[in-house]
Amino acid sequence: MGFSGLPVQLLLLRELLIVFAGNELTIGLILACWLATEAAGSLWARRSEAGGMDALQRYAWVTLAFCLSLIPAIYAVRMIKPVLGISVGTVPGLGLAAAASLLVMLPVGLTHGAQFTLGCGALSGAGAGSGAGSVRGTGSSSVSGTVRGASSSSGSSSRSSEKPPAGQIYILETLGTLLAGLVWTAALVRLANPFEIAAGVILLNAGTVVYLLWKLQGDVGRTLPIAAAAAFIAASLLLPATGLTRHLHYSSVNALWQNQNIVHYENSMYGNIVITETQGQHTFFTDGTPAFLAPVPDAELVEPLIHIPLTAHPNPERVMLITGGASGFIDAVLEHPSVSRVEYIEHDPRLLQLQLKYAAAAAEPWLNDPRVDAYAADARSRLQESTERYDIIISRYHDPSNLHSSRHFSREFFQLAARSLTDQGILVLGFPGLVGHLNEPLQDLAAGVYHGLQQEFPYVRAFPGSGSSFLLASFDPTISTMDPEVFSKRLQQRRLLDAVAVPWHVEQHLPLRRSAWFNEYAAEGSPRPSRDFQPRALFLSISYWSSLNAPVAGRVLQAVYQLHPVAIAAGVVAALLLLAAALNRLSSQPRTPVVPAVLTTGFAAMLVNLSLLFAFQILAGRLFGWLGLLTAAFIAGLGIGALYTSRKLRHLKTSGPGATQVPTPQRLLIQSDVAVMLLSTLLLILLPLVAPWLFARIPATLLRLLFFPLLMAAGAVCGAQFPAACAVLTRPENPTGDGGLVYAADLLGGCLGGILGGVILLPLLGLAGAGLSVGVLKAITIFLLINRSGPVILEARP
Amino acid sequence: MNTTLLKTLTGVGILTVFLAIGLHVRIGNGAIHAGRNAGQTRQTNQANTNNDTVPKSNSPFVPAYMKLHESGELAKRAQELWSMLESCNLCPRNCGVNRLAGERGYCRAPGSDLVIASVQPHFGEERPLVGQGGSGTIFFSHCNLRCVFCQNYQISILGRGNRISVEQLANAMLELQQFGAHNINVVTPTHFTPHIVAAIDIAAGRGLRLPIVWNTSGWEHVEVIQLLDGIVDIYLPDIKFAYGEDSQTYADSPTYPEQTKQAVLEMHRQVGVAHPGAAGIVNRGLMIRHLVMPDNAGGSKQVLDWIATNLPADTYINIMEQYSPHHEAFNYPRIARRTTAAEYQSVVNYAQELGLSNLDSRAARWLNN
Repeated sequence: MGFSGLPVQLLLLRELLIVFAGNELTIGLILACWLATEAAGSLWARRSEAGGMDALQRYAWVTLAFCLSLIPAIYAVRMIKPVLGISVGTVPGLGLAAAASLLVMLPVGLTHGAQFTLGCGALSGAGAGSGAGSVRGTGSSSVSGTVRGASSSSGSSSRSSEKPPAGQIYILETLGTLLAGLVWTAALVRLANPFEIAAGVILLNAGTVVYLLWKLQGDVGRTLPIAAAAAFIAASLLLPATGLTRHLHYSSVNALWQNQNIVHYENSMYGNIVITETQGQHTFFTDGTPAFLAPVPDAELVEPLIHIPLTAHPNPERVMLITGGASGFIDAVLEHPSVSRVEYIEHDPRLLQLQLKYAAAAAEPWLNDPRVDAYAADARSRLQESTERYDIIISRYHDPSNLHSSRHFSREFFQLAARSLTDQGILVLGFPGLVGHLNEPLQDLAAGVYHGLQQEFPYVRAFPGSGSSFLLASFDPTISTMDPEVFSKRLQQRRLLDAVAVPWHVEQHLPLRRSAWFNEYAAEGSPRPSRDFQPRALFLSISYWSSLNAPVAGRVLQAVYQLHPVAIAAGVVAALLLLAAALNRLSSQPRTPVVPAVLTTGFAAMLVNLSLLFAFQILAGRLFGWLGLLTAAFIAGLGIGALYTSRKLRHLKTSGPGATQVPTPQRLLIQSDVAVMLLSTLLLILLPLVAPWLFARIPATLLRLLFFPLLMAAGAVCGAQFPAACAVLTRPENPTGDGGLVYAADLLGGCLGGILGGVILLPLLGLAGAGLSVGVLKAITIFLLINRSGPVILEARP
Repeated sequence: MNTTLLKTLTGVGILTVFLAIGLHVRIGNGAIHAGRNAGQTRQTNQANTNNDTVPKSNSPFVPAYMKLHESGELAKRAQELWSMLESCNLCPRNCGVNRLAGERGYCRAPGSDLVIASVQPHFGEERPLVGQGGSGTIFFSHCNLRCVFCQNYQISILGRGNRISVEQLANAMLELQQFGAHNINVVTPTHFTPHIVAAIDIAAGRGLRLPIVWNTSGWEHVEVIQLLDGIVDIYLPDIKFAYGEDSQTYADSPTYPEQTKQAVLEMHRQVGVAHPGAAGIVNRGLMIRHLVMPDNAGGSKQVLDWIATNLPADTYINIMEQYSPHHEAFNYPRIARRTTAAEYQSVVNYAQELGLSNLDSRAARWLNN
């Protein structure tokens, strides 16, 4: 069970992101959908009575239903576009993304959510109706959505001694998740297709069902579920053995890429890569989005981007080209005879290898040129570590639409580039297209990037274009004065141009009036530059993207951006507290504000986890490949925290009512809330402060390892609260302790943390601002806990 | 029993909602007459010009519409065009929907509301339109043609943009003049023809003196183009396809080649050949665009044959090479790639062989090696 959840969740997330060309907002939505379905499944399992059937049988049937749902779910994800008539090149809106994700994930999440609750109930020898009270998911825990059980209120510990300790179950489940994280990272991502992974998960789950029924169930009623499970085992073995998983994989991929000739499909450590071919031309898709074409270059894009900066430089020798496809670009650079070295950096090694492979097949000239050095690396790390200086650095990240690319629009990147350039060096920065749909987010993005560059370079000039624009930044004034005449003269002096006129697609960029228009356009925007730990550019790109593809979300984001940061923080805090207060009314003890505490902890946990993942990407890169392990580390931390509190609670129980030295559940709850507040606030404030120091002194490999203890510690602090919260609400007349409600609050907090925290707080307020917001939020819940549950704290436990 | 019924109804309700969403999306991505609300409340800065501060154009050029404006004919034309919205036949689709009552046709324009995506001086248009001040471009949302390979599909097909009034459109034109643009370039104007003519009438009264560039897919009703006689100075039509089967496949418009040819002939009759003035700027004339598509999907040589046969040899022709697959083009393997340099060059060579002398072509290789 523990081993199954993480791969299935990551697998569905990955597939959905490919379909919806996802950004951080889409990820938040998909995770929220996963959490919601898991929560619904868990609640349904707790309430279901399933007359006549014992807990183990129910667990068995739900597990088999989970197995049954996997392959159809994966297939269904890939059929979303064909069924709805959405072509490959079209980006579906957010509403559709949320609805389709929910619908596809519903059977999987529902059964997986129910599986844990029923499984724990079954193993404890009790029915789910009571068992669920003792074991519930810490949604705070559910950082990436994996809902897991944390244990255990005093309700569980009060049960008979023959029940297996919830902690044990929890440890096993956590171990399973950790193992899944390792296997996912090391092997599954690259070696198995989604249907093969699903077959493995089915085998594991069905095998578990057979084992459990065989070992624990009497003869009565076990034949049918064992037979069904055996059928699933057989199917899970036959599917890969007969090649059916491959068939399903390729048929669904073909359906998704509607009628295209797919010559390559794979999931690398960094993302999904698809290459299609038509009449000798290859289109490279990354994560479902067309990335570049080969071998025919897009002259309208390539030539202005390359020839304008290289002509502006008096003698370009060393050129760094960051991502965006080698075909056409490198050849254009090599047209300039002064160039002695071109470094082409691609982030994903597989994407580079595939480019080299297809370039070799097309006999592209650059491939055998000794001046070219193409390698896979993180461009920022390379600039940071290298002592070399470049004449031209061309960043082909043209849109800060995700965490990774937004790192190349921050002031820190501009500083790094400025440091790595020669005295007359030029930074070339891609920028989203301007013509056609101008709106406020794009204007603010233009203003922020332009002003960010101006803070590091004395001369900045924009070259707005139709499909894609670019900006030049330099210490040399030439870029500001180069018009068509100067451009032609320079090319002629270098014997690069004879009588042939400069083509219009290059010349049209050069009139100074055009740059002046961009300056006037950007001048009306908000000139706040993006920072590494406050990636406004990411927010604005998502806002711009939403205005095109999801207008309602676009308008909301646009309105939010206009607000003062304090108003944003206050709004988020107020919204969360109001929601928590409303949910708290459903509690059996509404005077004790447990629900607000748990909801806000869920929110804080998600925010802290996102921040750490975010910092990981900024400082060390390669988040996609490490995501499974990092998530597993956080989940393991949650388990440790929950276990710690459970043991404390058990100690409380065994110590008896007379033992005044041991903490009461209420006190534990308050302590955990204080810990969450301190952790969230301090970590989020300190991280941006120490990051530059860490980045400068510690190698990326070591930095990556540092994140594991950090994530575990953060998980432990957040996970420690759930058992205490359940215990506080447990009463003799209410032995399950409103577990479902606490669970729901926890999940809701996690969802909101993903959406509000990931999309609004972190980009707009930065880590420090987000940390302060969480600090305020938790301070309020601590105040409420102390103030409103005072008499209860002193009350002796029954 | 009641609980079971309730649960069943809830389940059915949820499924219905999902089905409705699915159906909505399917309709939204097909060519079925159903629209989406593309309106946005925010107005562009350009649309909020203070009328008292609008400078007059310094150019001695007097646009054609001034005569009609002064005689009151422009307002009458606008009214006549506006009345066509009642049973909309502004374009060859002849949907016949009552846009005055808020109905949407194939183009999905929201009734009689006007939606624009952006207003800006554009420097990427043809050289004779751009000059130093740029072409004053107004991008209209929605489109009557809806090509599967449209690079601006969010605007033309999904209809992203801002709803504005005719008055604000007139102000936007004046704002572009104030910026120093050389012309008012209305992009994809067909379905908003009445609004544009009405706006020109208002703007002319407030000092607009720039020529109007009718930047169209070419698929126009000749009768509507006739109503633009004396209003538009520069026609900038595409001739996208030579064959009806291709226009049917890629734009759901089998009559495109024939009707576009008729419309282009009428345009030429009205404004003649485009000849640049002293500063290289064109103020009047016909400027044809043809996009070279992969695998000759546009029938390039046949298009050029027709031009060479039916129009003067010095007709301005922009042979464009920037085709790149977008939107639904990936569903059509034939056009799911870029045009190669060889394909482009062969079209340019052919035009030269035909004796077409006013070519705006871009050399595939231009740097010395």
